[in-house]
Amino acid sequence: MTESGGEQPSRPASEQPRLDADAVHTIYERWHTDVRRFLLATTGDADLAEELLQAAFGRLVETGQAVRPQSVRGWLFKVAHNELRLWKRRAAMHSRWLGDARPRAAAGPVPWEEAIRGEEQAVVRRAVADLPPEQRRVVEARIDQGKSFAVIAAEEGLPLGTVLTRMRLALGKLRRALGEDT
Amino acid sequence: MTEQRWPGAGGDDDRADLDWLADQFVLGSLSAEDEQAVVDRLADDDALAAAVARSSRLVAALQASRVVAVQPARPTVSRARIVVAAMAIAATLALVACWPVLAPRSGPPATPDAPREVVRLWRQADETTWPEEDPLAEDEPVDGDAVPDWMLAAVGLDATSSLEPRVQEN
Repeated sequence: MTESGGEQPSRPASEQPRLDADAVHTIYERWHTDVRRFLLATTGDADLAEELLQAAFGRLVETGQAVRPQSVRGWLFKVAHNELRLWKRRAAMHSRWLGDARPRAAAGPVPWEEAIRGEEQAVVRRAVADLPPEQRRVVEARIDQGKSFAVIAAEEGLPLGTVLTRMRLALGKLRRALGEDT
Repeated sequence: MTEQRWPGAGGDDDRADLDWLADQFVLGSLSAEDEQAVVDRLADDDALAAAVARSSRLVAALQASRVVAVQPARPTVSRARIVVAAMAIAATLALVACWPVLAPRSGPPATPDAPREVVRLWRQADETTWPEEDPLAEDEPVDGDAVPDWMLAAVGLDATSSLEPRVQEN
């Protein structure tokens, strides 16, 4: 696996025949939702997530022949994460040299529905409303306002560990509400 | 992962720890070193990959729900903007409708010196337009034949007739 470096293939990926279109299609159908959600969750930007998703599957076409079938999902997460890091680096360079001139997506409703079902959103919304206020404040500060846990801790006058514990408890409750804890 | 115990995939506690590790990874709150450790293990640790998938679903759903939850605040702002825009349009229309009454009369102010000023400006323009000496003045004597027909027609003269004024015969 050339991209991940997690295993040593017998031959370099460049010498192996590429995945055929059917194999790529099968992998895409199986895992693209997970990878898109991962990118949505890490970027908060549906357009960027879609762009990085395509880049990750482009890598799959180029070098995916060396990936073990049971490792494909993790490999895709890793490649997607690397693509995100590359994008951040380019964006930082762009910002340094050209200022904040990067074209941004037009403001408006994000097409979350494509990746996250409406009923899941409703369940999570209700679960957030049921959280204890101190946990809800941490969730809102982190998710709505994008504050780091260190900033939240400073603003709340709490130790960082307390803020992290509140977030962990809140996510545990939300996870149970989504039925993921079973 | 220097201080953090690497969770396995054994019991419930391990799974909870793995989920929390994945949550921090997805939320981007791990140190660079811990984040790299997760990345390095992702392809080979299916339990970790599954935890990242669960966390991604949760965090993305949370973000989506918050986007929807925050959006209802927008219409109030839009309504206020619409009211302000409507008031501005109404004021503009009222101003346009009343303009004939409110507007000052057109043309220059009727001051006693206005005609003199116009004449002075006209002369100034006339001096700058025409040269002091006309180089054609001596070379081209005025000739009655050179007068164009349209000019003669304008003063009621026949092009073939003389330039001398006609004597009316009684």
